[in-house]
Amino acid sequence: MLKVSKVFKAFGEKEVLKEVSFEAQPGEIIGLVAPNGTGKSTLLNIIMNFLTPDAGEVTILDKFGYRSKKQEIQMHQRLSFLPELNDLYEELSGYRHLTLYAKMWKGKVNDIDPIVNSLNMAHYVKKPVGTYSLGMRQRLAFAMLLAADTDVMLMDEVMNGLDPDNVTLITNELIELKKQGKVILIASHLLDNLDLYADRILFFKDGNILLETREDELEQINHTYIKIQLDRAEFDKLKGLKKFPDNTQYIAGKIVAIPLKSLEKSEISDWIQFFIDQDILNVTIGQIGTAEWYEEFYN
Amino acid sequence: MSAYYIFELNAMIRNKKNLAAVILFLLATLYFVFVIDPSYRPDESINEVEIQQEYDEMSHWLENYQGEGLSSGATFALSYFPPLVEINETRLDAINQQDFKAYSTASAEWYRYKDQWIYSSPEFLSYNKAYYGIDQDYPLQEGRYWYLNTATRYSAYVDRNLEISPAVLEERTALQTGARVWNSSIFPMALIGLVVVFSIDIVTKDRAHLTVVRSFPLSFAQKLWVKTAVVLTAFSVVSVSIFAIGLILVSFREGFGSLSIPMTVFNGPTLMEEHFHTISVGLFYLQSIGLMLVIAYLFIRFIILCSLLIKNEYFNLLIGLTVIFTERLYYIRGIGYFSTVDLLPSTYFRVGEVLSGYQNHLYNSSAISFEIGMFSLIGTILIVEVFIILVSRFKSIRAII
Repeated sequence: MLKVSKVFKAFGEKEVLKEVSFEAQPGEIIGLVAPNGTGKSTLLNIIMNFLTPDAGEVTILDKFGYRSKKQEIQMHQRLSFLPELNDLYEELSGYRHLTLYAKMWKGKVNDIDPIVNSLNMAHYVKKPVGTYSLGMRQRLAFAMLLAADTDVMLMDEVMNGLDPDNVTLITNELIELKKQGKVILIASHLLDNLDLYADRILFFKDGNILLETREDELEQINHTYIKIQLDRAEFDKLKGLKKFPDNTQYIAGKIVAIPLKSLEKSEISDWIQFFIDQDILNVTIGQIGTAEWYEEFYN
Repeated sequence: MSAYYIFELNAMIRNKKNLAAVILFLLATLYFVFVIDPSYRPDESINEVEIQQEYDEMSHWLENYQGEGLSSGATFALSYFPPLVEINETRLDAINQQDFKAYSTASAEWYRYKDQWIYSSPEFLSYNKAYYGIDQDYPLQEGRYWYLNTATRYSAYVDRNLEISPAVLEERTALQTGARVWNSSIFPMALIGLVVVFSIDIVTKDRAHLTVVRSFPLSFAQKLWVKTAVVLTAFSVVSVSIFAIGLILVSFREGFGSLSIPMTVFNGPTLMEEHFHTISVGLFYLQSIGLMLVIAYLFIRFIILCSLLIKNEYFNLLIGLTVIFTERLYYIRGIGYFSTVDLLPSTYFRVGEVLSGYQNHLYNSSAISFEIGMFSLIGTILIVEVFIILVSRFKSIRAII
């Protein structure tokens, strides 16, 4: 559906993206994770053609790209971008913004009221945007994407400024969009939240995709671990008592992760019993979360 | 595109700068209607006292002249006075009988007769003293222009068999007042100023909404066309509405008038009666609106071009207002006969004076007309369009929206 091929972008001497490539399929939410200034927003801006890459190409359906003015329009008919909150028109109502996006992309406004209701915006949407709080603006910006209803949606920090209730609200909407077959790229710092709906997380470092985690069923099994929080000294002490499997990982300086795929069922029980015997009770089975990988890569 | 057009129109209507400009324009109109226009005294008015005075002086002189030898002054008076006494007698009778058709016929004759004598004997005679003010460098030319202008107009009233009233003769009806307003320098300039104020931020304001505007499935050129249409719409609606309010308010005082009332047009270059003709007020309005819309379009596109190049609304305001007054750079009375000022677009900014031919009179030209104005303005528009196309080829320029 959306293909990013060998995209390279440098600002002066600084190479922000070095031949970044990935492809997104319908119904897939991809999280883009990295500290600020490492190219996430640059990538989204290149996908929108707000920035021109020094090399590489962005295509949709292997057919459309930014090769001509006509194709740029065709690309933008299939793409929408979460507006920055400061870019909204202060003097106009949220409803006018939604009408604009609905008419611009869909040519009709029938779906606006259900969107307004689903995001609890009815009490403020007809007031000027200048009177909105940060959270109200954020919901409006997200609602604008729902109104545009494009095949591909790009969101940079969509959860910013939202209280927990509204984070849940938007999360549920994202899951619904995924069911509808939308391709969604989200740059976010709410890492635990990303784990709730993202099918893949792309970790960026030094202009490259450092790691790409997958969430399909087969991959889930392959990426499930016995996880124990230990400091380095405790880990070294345990290694002296029992030999850990070769593919055991020590992540972010605090998590020992033993992959389940390398263990028999009896071995799993043995390992859990071993940790309990050592008075280590914070043992969990699960995947390595985005936050944990983030700690590993960036801290 | 219609969605974007409506959205931009809404944004424009709610823009505080634009609202302030509209309110100012409305207040200026109300000031004109209630303060300036009621005290309007046309230079060529129906002045019974003045006619009577001229009649009395001349007839008294003729009745009491007893000289045996004729002085040159007396010879002059004896040939100049008698027809005037006769014409003025007819004019006075017509006023007394409220027969303004007869008054028009006699007055047209009066203006022609007076002009013929005054223009040939300026050392003895003078036109209406209104043309001899301290700021008037060309009283003879002004006097002749307005006398022949009035004579042509009065004759046309009679020829077209219109219902003639003092308000029509003095151009006080609402439609004629509107035409007089167009004929002033300030009104067309104010309208262009309104276009400039509406246009200065139509592109640059998008820098504050980039992630909204740049994601639209519209090309750069389409966005610029929408913005042009929005300013043109807002300008047309505002100016026509406020002008209509002014007309309606004036009509309560002096009647609305008729679109078929003739008004004089001077073809130039020489001040001879055959170079004056009339068109209806309706046609004058149509041509004025047409010319003004083309000028408005030119200014919008020019300011859009400046926005792309300089990206600063204060610069746009400065350059826009400066361009309005560029005619000042080359205006010298009478140079039209020796130069091609008729090809310069700024010659046509004073729309009413162009259409009435007063510009021809000022420049001593016969080329400043609606048709040549359109040619000049459309030619300039094409040049601006070429520049817009050229600069739009640069992505750094397009990045503004």
